[in-house]
Amino acid sequence: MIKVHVKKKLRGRHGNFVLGADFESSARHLVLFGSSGSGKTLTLSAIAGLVRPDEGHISIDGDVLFDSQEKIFRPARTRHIGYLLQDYALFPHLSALGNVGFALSGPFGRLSGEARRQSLALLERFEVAHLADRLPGEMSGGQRQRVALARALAANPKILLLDEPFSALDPLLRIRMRKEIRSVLDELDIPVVIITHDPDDVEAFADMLVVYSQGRTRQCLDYQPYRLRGVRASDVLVPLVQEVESQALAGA
Amino acid sequence: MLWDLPAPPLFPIVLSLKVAGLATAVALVAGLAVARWQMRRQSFFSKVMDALCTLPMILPPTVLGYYLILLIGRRGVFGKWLHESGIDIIFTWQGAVIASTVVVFPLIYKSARAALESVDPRYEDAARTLGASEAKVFFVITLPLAWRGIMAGSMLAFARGMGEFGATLMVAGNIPGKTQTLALAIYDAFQAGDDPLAISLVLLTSAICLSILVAADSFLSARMGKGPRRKRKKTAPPAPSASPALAGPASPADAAPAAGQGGQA
Repeated sequence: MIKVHVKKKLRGRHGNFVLGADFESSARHLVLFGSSGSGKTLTLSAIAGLVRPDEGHISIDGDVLFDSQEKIFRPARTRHIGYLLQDYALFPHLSALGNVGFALSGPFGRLSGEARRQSLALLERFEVAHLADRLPGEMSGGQRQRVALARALAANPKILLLDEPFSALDPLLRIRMRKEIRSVLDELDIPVVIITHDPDDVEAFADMLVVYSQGRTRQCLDYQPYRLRGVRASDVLVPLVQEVESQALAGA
Repeated sequence: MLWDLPAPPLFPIVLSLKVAGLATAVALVAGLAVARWQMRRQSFFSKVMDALCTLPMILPPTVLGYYLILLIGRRGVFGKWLHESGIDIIFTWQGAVIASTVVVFPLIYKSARAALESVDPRYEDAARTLGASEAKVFFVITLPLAWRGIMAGSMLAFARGMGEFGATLMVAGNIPGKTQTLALAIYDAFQAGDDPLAISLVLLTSAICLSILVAADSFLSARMGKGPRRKRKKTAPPAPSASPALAGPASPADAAPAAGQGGQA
């Protein structure tokens, strides 16, 4: 069960941005849907502990990560949250093995024999063990995504956050990686939060859907009935987004 | 003619290299620490700190020298206490190191801060979510990614240290065979009317500083290149030269693997 109720104000050159995210979900796959700039990434950053909200509460399975009233703010490194950043942010100076082993390495980045073995096993599992010595700059988009996912899973996270995992890939590869990631996630027994603005991602992953517009969560709905009925995501999303946009216009 | 010039005396050369090298090393450690502390800070206090750290670059060296004498002179704030325990820094080569350190500190601090801040913060964020402490983030991610810029700044600082004159003269004096560095020896030779010696020292100093600048530029341009160019460990050729000061006009392609190997240490 993930609970997010946060407010965060950002001052920018083009005026202020106010994030107001409110949702609770015990779905295995939670999808945050909305156009770019609607506050989805900021929400993930707050969950991961990279951004401190102004007020509110964040907890995962009863484990309080942030609470402004009780003055709780757990630093990112103690949260055990796997975060796949947009474009993956693989460490450009470390090999695939170095990237995946980062979470298991010592305070100065040394890999023990055991950590090395574990990292190689993870690379093996994602079928990229042959790239162990390659730098991220020498890999293709799909390979980078696999290495990034292996890196996030190496830390043994309690929950996985994926920020636009497929937007960096070309369309055909996107379809293939979506299937692949879907089957990997099905094998894992951890909840996943996915950010997207692509209806195909909603169709492939959503158990629960949260719709963002202009910094706010406007709609939370159980998506499983739609999936069971075989409704196309765009048929659900187009009227939903229209409704949400007019709601945002009226409210904001 | 060039070949008629006297061979430059060895002592000032060795002393200048030693003083500039030590000053660069001390300023590198201090500059990195302050740069890390100041990194991505915007507060008023941090701006004042930044200005204070940059000040030695702008102040006349004689002003710096005077401040140093007030601090470590025999009657200075710390100097008095050191003098009582039998340590005198004024008029020693260690004094020259202290003077040079203060003079070159801004060069290292400025370039280190710029290099650290140019690292994409998302790499550091990714490292934090992977359980890394701030120290691990710095030593395993930020520092290796910023290393080339920091090295280039250090080389500039070394070259500046080689030419240090004013503050060194005030703090360490100009004692031949004890505290006389290249820059001071040139002034001495000029004052004594020994032009051949002055010219030979001038040319030597210019050559050393020029090589360092070219090497620093190679580091920087390699850094500006697209993405990391580091060759993998297994295939990397041996580093072309151990000493950057004597490497001469190295091409960026030569400098890149050497820098990469330094970066992953």
